Amino acid sequence: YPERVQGTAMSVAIYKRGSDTKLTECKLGASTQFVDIKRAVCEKKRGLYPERVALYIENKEKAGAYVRVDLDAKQSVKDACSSGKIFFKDLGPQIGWNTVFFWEYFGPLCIFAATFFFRNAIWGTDIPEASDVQRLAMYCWVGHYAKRILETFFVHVHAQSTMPLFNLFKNCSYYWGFAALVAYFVCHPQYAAPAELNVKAGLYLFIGSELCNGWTHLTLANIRRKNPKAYEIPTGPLFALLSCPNYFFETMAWFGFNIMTQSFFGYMFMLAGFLQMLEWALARHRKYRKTFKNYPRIRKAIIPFVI
Amino acid sequence: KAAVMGIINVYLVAYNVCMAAGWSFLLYTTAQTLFLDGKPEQLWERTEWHLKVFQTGAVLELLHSLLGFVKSPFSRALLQIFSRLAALWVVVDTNYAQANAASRNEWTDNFFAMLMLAWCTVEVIRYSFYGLNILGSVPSFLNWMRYSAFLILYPIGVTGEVGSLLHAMPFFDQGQCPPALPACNYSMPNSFNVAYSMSSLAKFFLFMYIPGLPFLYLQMLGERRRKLGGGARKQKKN
Repeated sequence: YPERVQGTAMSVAIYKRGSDTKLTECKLGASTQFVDIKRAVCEKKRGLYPERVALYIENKEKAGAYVRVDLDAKQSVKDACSSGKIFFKDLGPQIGWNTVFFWEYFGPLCIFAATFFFRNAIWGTDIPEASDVQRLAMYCWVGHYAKRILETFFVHVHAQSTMPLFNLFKNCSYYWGFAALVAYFVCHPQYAAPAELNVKAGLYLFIGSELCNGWTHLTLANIRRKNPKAYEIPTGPLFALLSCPNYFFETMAWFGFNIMTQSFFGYMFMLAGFLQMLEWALARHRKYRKTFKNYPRIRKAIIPFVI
Repeated sequence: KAAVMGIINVYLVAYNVCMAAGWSFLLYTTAQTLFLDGKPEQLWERTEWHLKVFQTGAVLELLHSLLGFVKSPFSRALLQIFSRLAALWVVVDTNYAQANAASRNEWTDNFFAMLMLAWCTVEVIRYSFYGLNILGSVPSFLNWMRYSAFLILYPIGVTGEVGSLLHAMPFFDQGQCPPALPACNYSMPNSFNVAYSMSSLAKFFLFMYIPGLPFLYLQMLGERRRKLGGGARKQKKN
């Protein structure tokens, strides 16, 4: 698209990936943004909205392959459209992150509380009263998820992004499933609490870890308070030995909970969560080390001195 | 490195050939017992041990996936093998156990027959496909079979599996354990604060067919579309 052709406004042709038929065009002005190109797609395709549209350009090195357009301002609209063609993909129904987080956390909170308060409905009236440890477990569990919900809406800073709707069902199955399993056996009339020392030690570990985890979240949020896209090396005592102290303290909080309550599914839940957080921590740690040449060498990803 | 790859491929081809041979024998025996002799009640006696050896041998595929010999995802292999082993060693083995001989009826045998027809056919196709794939030449007919046979075999196989499971459920509800798992019930109170019963595990297993079958079926349909394309019929003629 030569810029100097008389009478022709600069525009980019939009195609579906893998198709040769042009869907539509979008005029490129000085202030055109990617979302305008997405809106052009949505005008032609019923049922689509910008969050569902992903933009791609042809991969110059590999025929038939595409490269996703990086919307975090790494590529300018002009650069992406320099070949005159741009491609889109329908990502499927989307849902907002905060919506997913809310339901992921609200479910377990309700499930444990309901299991605790309706023990008689579940196991009959001829059962002993809930023990102190069982009550404590309920408070800890409910408190943990209440904290998470508050953090989602008042602390965490993330881009107003969306994720595929399927993730809602996948994530809720995981959280709600484990919540039901842990709650059932901890609230059970034949639940056997561990020794008092375990209960005390577990509780203190839980509370201390939750506080440290919260402090980590606040520190990370402060980095993005003024600039939501800021990417810096986090500092502070919690970060002295770790890239992701939030994941470390989350695991320690569950460890405390399990020392206090000692249930098979409690430990399984902690293990499953840890494995996922390990994967996330390693990725973030790698990214930090790649981005910052002076990244502190002593820091590990998720367990100090180990990994 | 190329030498190591070569050895791995020789091993894999040998594995697939053995499996294909074993399942071919099972398919032949199944077809003979059901269609030539017309005696489904003899199917278990004739195939029990071969079936147990070749189906259990498939755990090697978990190792192949973990060690990176093959590209398929570990979670998929794990799910598939776990459900097969459960269906065989927990469900069918219980139905045919000595203790339950009195409850055995024509439906025990019919569901087992459906299960066998589906499993044997699918496995012969699958292992032949894998073996020839490593050697680099899969006849287009086999390719078509691999991505089309499941269309009727999945429903037939699942009917056999679920039918067998429903038949076995009363035994589990009474606290019976499968012959291979003498200790399958654990009750509270205990220091792990956990309990399980074959009855509840079996009900969970039954429930998992509801999301499981559509998920696997749709996944295979997607692969079919990609591998055979829109001109699936054209490909078959070629």
